[in-house]
Amino acid sequence: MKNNIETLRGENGISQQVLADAAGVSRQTINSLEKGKYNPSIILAFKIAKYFNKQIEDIFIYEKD
Amino acid sequence: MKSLKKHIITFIIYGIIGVVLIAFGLISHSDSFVTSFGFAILAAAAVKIIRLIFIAKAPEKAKRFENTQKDERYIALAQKSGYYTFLISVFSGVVAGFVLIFLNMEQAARIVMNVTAIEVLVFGIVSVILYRKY
Repeated sequence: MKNNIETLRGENGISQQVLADAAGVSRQTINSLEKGKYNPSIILAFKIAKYFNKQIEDIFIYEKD
Repeated sequence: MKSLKKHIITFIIYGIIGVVLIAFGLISHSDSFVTSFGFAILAAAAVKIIRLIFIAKAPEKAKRFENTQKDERYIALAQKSGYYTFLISVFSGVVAGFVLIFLNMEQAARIVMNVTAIEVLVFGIVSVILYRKY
């Protein structure tokens, strides 16, 4: 699964730590998400989408394999 | 702060265990291993408690600590590593059992094999319970 978290963070001038604090996770988790190493739970995906005021599918893009 | 307090209480309990071991070692004049082990536990617990108190005093650090404890990736990784640890433990138990049989230490082999079997049984029961629950 791909995501636009890094781009959105850049556009909004938000650090990984700020997003991590808002989503209630560690900075390492945000880093892992951005690098595509970890796929979030639906709850975390919702929290991140809500933080950026977007729909989940605007941030997370499902890719077959 | 809930998780932080829980951690502090856990390490206080470890510290108490350390003190009990030191006292036991000194009173019973037993092997110095017990006293040394007690000191080691007490020292490790004290260092951890001091570190946690420093974190608790800084609200930002405390919030990050709480987030890390609830972090879903952290939990997923801990579960995965626990699963691999279990597999290695079972495999090691079986190998150790056969090695002990080979060394004609049947009594010890039986104990090791039984412990391994109990481990697998508990894993199976817990798995069935979890499958039914979720």
